[in-house]
Amino acid sequence: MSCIFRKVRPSLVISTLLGCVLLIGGCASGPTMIAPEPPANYERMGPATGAASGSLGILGTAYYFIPMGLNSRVERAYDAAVASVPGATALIDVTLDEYWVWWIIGTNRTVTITGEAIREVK
Amino acid sequence: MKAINRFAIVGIAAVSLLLAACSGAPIKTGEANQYAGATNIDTYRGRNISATASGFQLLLFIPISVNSRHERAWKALLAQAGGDYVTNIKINESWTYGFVGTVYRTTLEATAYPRTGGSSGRSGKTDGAGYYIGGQE
Repeated sequence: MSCIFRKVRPSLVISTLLGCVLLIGGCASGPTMIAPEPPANYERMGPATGAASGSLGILGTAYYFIPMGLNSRVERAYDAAVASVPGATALIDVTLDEYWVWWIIGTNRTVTITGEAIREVK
Repeated sequence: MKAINRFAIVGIAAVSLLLAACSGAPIKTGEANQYAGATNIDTYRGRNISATASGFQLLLFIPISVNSRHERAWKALLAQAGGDYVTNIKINESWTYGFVGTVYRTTLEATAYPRTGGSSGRSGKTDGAGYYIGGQE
C-alpha cells in the first residue's frame, strides 16, 4: 500500500489539492430580492433595519476559502429587516450597506439593510 | 532594544487592525425611483437589466476596489435603465478564491419599465420615493 503512495508524484498531489481548493474556493449567493415591486396599494409601517454577518477565512493566507455564513448574509439581512416590523411583508426605499472587519484569521462582512416596511392593503 | 521591537510590533498590529475595517458605499434604491419620477409607466415593455462590479481583497485586509463595488454596480445598472422606472432589484454576491486574496463580485438584476407620456400602462400617484400608489389603469 505504501508503495502506491511512494509512486505518486508530489506535483500530482499539489495539482489535485489546488484543483480541490479552486473548486471549493468560489461560491455565490442566490439572487436575493432587495427591492420588490410594491403592491398596488400598501400601507407604510415605519422604518425597518436588519443586519447579518458572514466570514471568510481560517488559518493562513492561502487557506482563506472557507465561508462561514458568508453566502447567505444578504438574504438573512433582508429577512431580518422585514421581521423587525411586525406584520410587514416587504420594504421600500431600501438601502444596502456593507461593513467588513479583519479578524486575523478571516474577514467578517456585515450587510445592513434599511428601508421602510410596508404591508399590502386589499 | 527588545522592548522597542515589541512596541513596534504592537503598534503595527494596532494600526493594521484600525485600517482593516471599512464600510462600503451603500446602494440606495430609492434614488432610482426618485430619478425616474414618472407618473406613467408602460408595464408591457419592461426589460431585464443587470450590472456587475468586482473588487479584490488582498490578504484578507487590503481592499482593492472592494468597498466601491456595490456603488459601481448600482451606477452601471442605473446607466442601463436610462431614467426608466427600476424595480424588482435583486442582488447576487459571489466570491472566488485567489490564493493571495479573494475576488468579490456583485451582480445587480432588475426590471426597467419605460416611462410613457400617454395613457397606456400603469398610472397612479407616486409617493416621495417614486413608488406607485394606486391601481392599474
